[in-house]
Amino acid sequence: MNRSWTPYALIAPGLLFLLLAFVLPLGLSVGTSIQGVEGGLLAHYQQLLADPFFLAIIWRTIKFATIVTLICLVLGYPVAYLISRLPPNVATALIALTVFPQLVNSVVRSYSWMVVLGREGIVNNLLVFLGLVDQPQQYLYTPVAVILGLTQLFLPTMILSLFSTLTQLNNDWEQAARGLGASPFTAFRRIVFPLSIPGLIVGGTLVFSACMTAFTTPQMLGGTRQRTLATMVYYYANVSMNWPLATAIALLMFLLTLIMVAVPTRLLRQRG
Amino acid sequence: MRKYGWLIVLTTLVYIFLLGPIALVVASSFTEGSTIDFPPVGFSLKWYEQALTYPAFRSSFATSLEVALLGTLIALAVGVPAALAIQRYDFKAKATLQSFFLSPVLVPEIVVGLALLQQVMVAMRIQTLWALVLGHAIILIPYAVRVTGASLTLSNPQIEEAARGLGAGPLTTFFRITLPVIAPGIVSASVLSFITSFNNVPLSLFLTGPGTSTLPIQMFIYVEFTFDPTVAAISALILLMTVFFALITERVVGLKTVFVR
Repeated sequence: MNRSWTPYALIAPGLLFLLLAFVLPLGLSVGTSIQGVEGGLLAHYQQLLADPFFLAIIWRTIKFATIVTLICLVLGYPVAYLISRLPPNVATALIALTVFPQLVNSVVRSYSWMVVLGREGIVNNLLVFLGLVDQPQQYLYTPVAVILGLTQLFLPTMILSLFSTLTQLNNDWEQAARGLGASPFTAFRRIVFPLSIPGLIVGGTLVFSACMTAFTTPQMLGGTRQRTLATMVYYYANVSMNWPLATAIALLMFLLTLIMVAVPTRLLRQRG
Repeated sequence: MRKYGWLIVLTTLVYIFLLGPIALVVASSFTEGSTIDFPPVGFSLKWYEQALTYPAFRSSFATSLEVALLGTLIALAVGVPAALAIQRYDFKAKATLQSFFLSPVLVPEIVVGLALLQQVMVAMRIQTLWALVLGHAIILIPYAVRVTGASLTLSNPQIEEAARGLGAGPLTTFFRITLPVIAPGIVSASVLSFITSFNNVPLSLFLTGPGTSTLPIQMFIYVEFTFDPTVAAISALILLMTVFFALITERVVGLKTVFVR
C-alpha cells in the first residue's frame, strides 16, 4: 500500500543532519587525536597511558563512579520499592519530588553543596556551634564532596528506573508467595528482587556512565584537587588549549565507559 | 502502612538529601552578608537586584532561551518524521537506523562539544549561536525520536489505514489523524528537549564565544571566580521558573508520562 520510498524520505532529513553535524565532526576529531604531531600515530594515547599521573586520574574517576553507583543502588532501591507500593496519589507526589531536582541544572545543584559544605556553610557552622571542631574544616574539594554531589545528581535517575520496573511487577506473585507461607523477606528475596534485576541493570548502567563522564560536579566540588577524566578534558581544551590531547582524553573516557558498562551487563544478562 | 515503617524513615531522609541543599540555596539567597553563609545574616533582596542587573546573566538567559527553542524545533522537525518512518513502515536497515537516531545520547557530551568546537565552530567559522543550536539539536534528536515513537506505538495504526481507505491522502491522514493522536507525545518531547537544552552544561561549555554563552555556563564561570550570593539569587529565580514549568507540564501531560519510561 505504501510506496517504498516514503520511509526513506521521512528519515532522510534527520539522517543527513546527523551524518553531517554529528558523525563527520566526530570522525574528523578522532582523526586529529590519532594523528600525533611529532610522535607519530597514536602518540597522544601512548603518552597518556604511560603517565602515572594520568592513570591515577583514570582510577579516581572509576572509583567515584563505582562508589556513587553503589550508594544510589542501596538508597534508591528501598525508595523505589516503597513508591511502587504506595497508593497512586502519594506515589505521583513522590515521583514529582524525584523529577523536580532533575529539572534544575547541574550548576545550581553543585552550588547547593558549596552552600552546605563551604567554610561558612551549614555543616561547618553546626559542627563549630556544637563544639565538635575548633574551626571550620575543609570539606569542599575532597572526595566526599564529589561523591555527595554526584549521588544527589544521579539518585533520581536510579529511583525512576527502578520504580518503572518495580511498578510493572505483578503484585499477585508476591501475594501468592506470601499465601503459600513465605515471610515478607523471603517473598521479596525470591520473587520481587530477581524480577527487578533488569531495572537494576538499567539504573546502574545509566548512573555509572553518567558519573564516568560527569563534568560540572567534579569541577565545582572537586576542583583541581580531585581531577577526573572529564575535568582533565576541560583543562586541556580550555586552559592549555591542547585540543588533540583533550580529544584523546575524551575518547579514552568514552571507550573506558563503554567497556566498563558492556562487560558486567553482558555477564548479568547471561546469568539471568 | 505500619509494615513500611523503616522504609518510610529512609525515604524521608533520602528526600531531605535530594531537596535540602536546594532549599538552603534559596534561604541563603536572602542574606545581607557578602558570602554564602548559613544561617544567612539578616534579610535583603540586594543579591536579586545584583543577579537581575548583571549583564552577562541577562544576555546569556536570552541566548539559553533562543538555543533551547531553536534546538527543540530542529530536533522535532527531523525527529518526528524519523519516528513515523520507524514505527509505521517496514524498510531495509530499520533497526540500524533506529539505533543510529538514538546514538547521540550514548556519546558523552564533552566528546560532541569538543568535536563541534574544532570541526565546526573554528574550522568552518560558524557563529557561536548557530554552533550551540546545532549541538543542542544533535543531543535532542534522540529524545524527539524516542518520545514521539513511544506515543506512536501506543496509538492504533488501523485508524490511519481506515482514513486512507476512505480516500484521504497521506498528508491529510497525517495532519487529520496521526498528528492529533500523537500530539501529547510531541508535547512531552518538546518539554523534555527544552529543559534538557536549557540545563545543558558539558556541551555548551566548549561552544562559547565572545558575548555568546548560555546561562548555566555564565553561572559556572561566575562561581569559579566569585563567592558572593549572586548565584544563590539566580538559582532561586531558576527554581521558581522550574516550579512553574513543572506545574504546567503536570497539568498538560503529567510529569510521570514525560520522565518515567
